[in-house]
Amino acid sequence: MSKRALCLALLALLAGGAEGLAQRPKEKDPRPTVRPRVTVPMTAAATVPESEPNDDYTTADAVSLGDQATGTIDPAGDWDWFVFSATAGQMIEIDVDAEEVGSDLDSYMYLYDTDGTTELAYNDDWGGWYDSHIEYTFTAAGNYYIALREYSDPDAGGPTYTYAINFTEVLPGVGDPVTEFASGFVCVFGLVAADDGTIYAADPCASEVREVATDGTVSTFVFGDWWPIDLTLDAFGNLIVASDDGWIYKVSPEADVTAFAERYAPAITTASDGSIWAFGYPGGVAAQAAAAAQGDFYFYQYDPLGNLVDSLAVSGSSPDWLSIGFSPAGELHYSVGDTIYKLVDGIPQSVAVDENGGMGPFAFDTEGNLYVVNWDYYDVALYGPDGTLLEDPFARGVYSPMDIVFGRDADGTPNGRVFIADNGQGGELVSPMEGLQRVAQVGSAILELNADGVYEDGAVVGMSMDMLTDDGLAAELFGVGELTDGEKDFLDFMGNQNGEYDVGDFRAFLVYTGTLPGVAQGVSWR
Amino acid sequence: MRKQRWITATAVALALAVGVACGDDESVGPEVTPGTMIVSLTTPNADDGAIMFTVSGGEIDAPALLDIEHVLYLMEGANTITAIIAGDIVAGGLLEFDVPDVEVAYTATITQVADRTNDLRDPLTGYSLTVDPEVE
Repeated sequence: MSKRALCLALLALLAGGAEGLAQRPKEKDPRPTVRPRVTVPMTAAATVPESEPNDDYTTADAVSLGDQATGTIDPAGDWDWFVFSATAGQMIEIDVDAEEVGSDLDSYMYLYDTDGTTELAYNDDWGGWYDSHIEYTFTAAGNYYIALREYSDPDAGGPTYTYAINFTEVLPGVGDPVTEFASGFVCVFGLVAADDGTIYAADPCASEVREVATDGTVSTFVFGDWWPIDLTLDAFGNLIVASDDGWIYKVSPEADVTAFAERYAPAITTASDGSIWAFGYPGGVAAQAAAAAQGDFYFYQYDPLGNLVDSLAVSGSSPDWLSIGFSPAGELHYSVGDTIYKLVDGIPQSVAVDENGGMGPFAFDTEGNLYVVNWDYYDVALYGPDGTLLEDPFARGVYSPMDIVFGRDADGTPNGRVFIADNGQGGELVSPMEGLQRVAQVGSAILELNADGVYEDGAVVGMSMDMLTDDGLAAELFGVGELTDGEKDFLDFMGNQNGEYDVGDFRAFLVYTGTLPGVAQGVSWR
Repeated sequence: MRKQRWITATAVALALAVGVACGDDESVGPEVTPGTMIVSLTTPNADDGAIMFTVSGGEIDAPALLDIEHVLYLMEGANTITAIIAGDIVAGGLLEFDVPDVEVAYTATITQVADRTNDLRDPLTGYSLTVDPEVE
């Protein structure tokens, strides 16, 4: 089950009850090519057939790094165990080949600590197949255990449920090691960094938006009868929250929640002119599934007050999940399937491609480099502004990445810290009771990449009123200002909307900031 | 080299002496009267909310609002200022400034006007500014 499918399943569950997960989809697009992986050349590789009984850690078959273990989950209910040795600091990849090579096995794999009972990681699917894959960095030397079973254990198995498991040491990316920054989420989806350094995190499983302080302390910012899935900030410091109940909400800095717009929008972001952009579907929640099936999706632009300004149909594909964001140049980018696109005059242009798919959320640095999480391969890749693959992987040590953001200093300046919303080792969201609890057990968390590997500081995202001063706005009218085009567009938008920044827009700003008495007439600022 | 320096010093001293002598001679040059100039608005509307204009002509010192309820933003240049005044703008005096000579002619040109709903006035038919010495 892919990450996107998992997310959809969770959201379907949240929106519609347990029926949404009653049937596990079996169809998936074949992924005929294998994404290149950087591995350490190994010598003395051997094929190690399993030796039954190897049904628990005490009877595990011994393998060495570089070996390929082979076996069969037979009969139904069979578990096969292997033991291997790792040294401190080693990053090891354990990769199953089964469905990909024609086996009936839908694998499910666990990594256990040296005691054979403490679970370190697990995985169901990886790389677009039903084959499991674990990458793990060991902190201590010792003998570690792998257990493999059929996903439908104990109901499936037999002679055709064959597998091979490859044990390989891999090289870390420049963004490794990845460390845990904050934990305590039930699950964690969208992230946004505020201009005081606080990170807000959507936790739909807890119906909360969490507030993460600069030291990683997590607290509840706002709880509601909703399922927040993605977040952005408007120019006034309000959180704009896309919820899976088919609404977009506005949450003030004082945590007051009001409706922003009725829209089913899995992804949301802020443009440099202060407008809010959402990827979504026409109609409400009920119409979402049909619209998605037809590839009937849109980008919706809202003014900061929640009024729909424009919508743009981008059809021709059928995204089940999609991420959006603006580049430093102000171009709307979105990821779907194997490609990140940008919209140029409303026309999608390919920016970066991973032929194996899984392109997920992304974040820009100041140079326009793209840090992209992969939903199928559970890692992070780095692309240049022209789509050149710069680091692959940039970081391996993520498990089920859902969003990626640059951090910000206390003065609002984006810095070189990169955070990832991660839903634990294996990222299973199998069912509301088992699945979500399981995710919590294995640690939905915000992870932090190794800042030494980050090329540049983060790009300024959206806009903030804090960036604007009356003197700066006046200077712009005097012809000596330094406002960006986006800021002027925003000021005009919040002013008289005549297409250019002028003294009327300046007056509107003065009223908003209280410099002039009274309240703005016409277009209101809040 | 030493001789050249002496010549230079002598020339400077002479120039200063001449300059001081001329400055002390009140009978030389036109008579000037320092004072205050007032920029006044003529408007066909009663709901103006902001105005931007430029004043030029001569030296402009200590520009200040005539209505303390207004807010003023200035960019000062050589013998010119560009001003934005916002608030409940009405016809009459908007701005005052000191000048070394009230006989020097000053002109003011309106660039933009907005109403109190922030809409830009266009065209500016009926609008004008005058710059006149303050009447005691």
